[in-house]
Amino acid sequence: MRCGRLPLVLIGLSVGLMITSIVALSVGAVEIAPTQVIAILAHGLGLDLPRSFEPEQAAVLGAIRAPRVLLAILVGAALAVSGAAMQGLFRNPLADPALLGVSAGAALAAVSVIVLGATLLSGLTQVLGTATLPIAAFGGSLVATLLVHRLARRDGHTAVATLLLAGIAINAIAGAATGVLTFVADDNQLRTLTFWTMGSLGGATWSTVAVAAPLILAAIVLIPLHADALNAILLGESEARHLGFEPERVKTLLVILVALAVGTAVALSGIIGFIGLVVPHLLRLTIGPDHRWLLPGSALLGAILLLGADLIARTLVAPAELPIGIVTALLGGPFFLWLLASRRGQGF
Amino acid sequence: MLKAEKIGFRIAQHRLLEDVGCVVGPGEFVVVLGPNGAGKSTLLRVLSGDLTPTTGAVSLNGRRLRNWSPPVLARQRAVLPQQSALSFPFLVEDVVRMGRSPHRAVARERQETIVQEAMRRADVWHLAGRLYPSLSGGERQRVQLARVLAQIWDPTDLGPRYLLLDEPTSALDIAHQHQLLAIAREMLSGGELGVLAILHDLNLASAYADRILLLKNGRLVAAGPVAEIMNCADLAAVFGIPVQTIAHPQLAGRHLVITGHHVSDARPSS
Repeated sequence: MRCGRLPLVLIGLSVGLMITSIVALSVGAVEIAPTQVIAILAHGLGLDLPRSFEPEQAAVLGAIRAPRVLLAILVGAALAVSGAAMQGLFRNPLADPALLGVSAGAALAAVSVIVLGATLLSGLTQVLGTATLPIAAFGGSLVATLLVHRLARRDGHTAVATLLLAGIAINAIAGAATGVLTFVADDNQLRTLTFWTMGSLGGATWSTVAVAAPLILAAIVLIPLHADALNAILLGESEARHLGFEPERVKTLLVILVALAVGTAVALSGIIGFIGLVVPHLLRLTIGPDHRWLLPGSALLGAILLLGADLIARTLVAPAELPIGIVTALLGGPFFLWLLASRRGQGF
Repeated sequence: MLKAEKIGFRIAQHRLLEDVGCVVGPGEFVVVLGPNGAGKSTLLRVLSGDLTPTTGAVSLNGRRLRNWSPPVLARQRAVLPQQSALSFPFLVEDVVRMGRSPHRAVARERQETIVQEAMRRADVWHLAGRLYPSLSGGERQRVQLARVLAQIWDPTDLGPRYLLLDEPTSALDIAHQHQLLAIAREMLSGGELGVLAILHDLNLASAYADRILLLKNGRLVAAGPVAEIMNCADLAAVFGIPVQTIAHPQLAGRHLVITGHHVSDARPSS
């Protein structure tokens, strides 16, 4: 039976996340040994360990690396849980926030705010202040999710081909609109735009973490509460209703939570693809498709993978930095192709 | 009692059901017969609460269907779908376990016993550790049967339970067709459960039903005890094909049904 192994997998992933976090905190321009990382963290908690460190190291860790690592964990978890939830909602293992245009919708809204914030949308930015960007991104991802959902459904079923084609179309439209905005943007805005379209965690500060944490944590905590309903929805929406669930209500709620998580993630780190696709897949191979384990597992593994990708992004061409979206696409793209090849003949 | 009164159902200008009434009592096996497009599946979806009828009302144990809360209703009636396209790699026993999701208050040990028993009853116990997508169509159907049996396994204090079967035998071989319907009949024996099934095979209907509903073009043509319906002229009229019945050599009160033209009649006589 698989049941006995499942809690172990979650514990293993938690330990893995801790180790990856310590490694990510220790690697960078200023050298900090992993043991020093632990000592600095303990010191922050009022505990003095017998391992010395320079104040400069503590400063770099506190001001630069810690917020970046936390943002990576939050964004990775948000994207992976959203991917798992969307795959359940659409009853299709190929759903992914970036593939389906949800991320592009959020990015378009965010780019609109950056480029037009001072002119056309000045009323909006005056009212919402610094929250304009995340709120706009949330709205953009919500609109894109609803659009994909509406387009791909026929008679209570989600047509796979239509789903992916709708994603392509929405990606194309959002991409074109983003292109127009890029065309009219000034130099300063252009630099910021590059960041959106390719993804980066370089903008991480304590204040961005403070914005992201409550929104993403809310989604990560609330989505797994509907794990049973998602399992039943995999049987079919009528079947879920016959089992006493209310699939329409659950779906509406999950679409909003996914849009919240993806919108926030995109607002703070741009478009980072494939995490939502790859992570749930890897987990299904080891712990099976039960959402009660899959959703929390995805949060942990998504955080680990994005931390790893960010590590590659900032060390491979140091002192320069690769956009993290390029790293995840380079790793995730081939995985997606392998997935398509291995699922051939199964209706995908 | 599961009771539908004067059910009408329309989509756009199409009348899928008109003035259909039906009753399924505890301990009773009711079979719905009719040609394609007669409205059988629509009737089942109205009875399950999937569709809200345009006119008329459905009640379960005296309470209107829409007044039941979804989880409570799920403990009172289960629906076996025609087919279930589950493409995710769930274990068979996990699929059956989903049938227990409306019963959160029941102790875990009892849940497991019921899951095992339901798998034994539906003859899928040996498949427990297999992945659902790797099963044949017939095996999947029996796993789904185990799931819906697990869902309404125990009596509740809200009266009789009901099992609705939507063309349950279409994916099964002959032996498993009989096995599935025999299992459904076994469930009736306590007198606390009623079954309604849509069937296509007149002989299966004749062998297992207590009562038959005959539908055509969304209307109820005839309803009554199986022996009566099997011998009525309406049967041939509804299906548009000659029907002859002869008494079953072993089952008293049951009939064998011979449908269609005789071979010699079917050929044009010169």
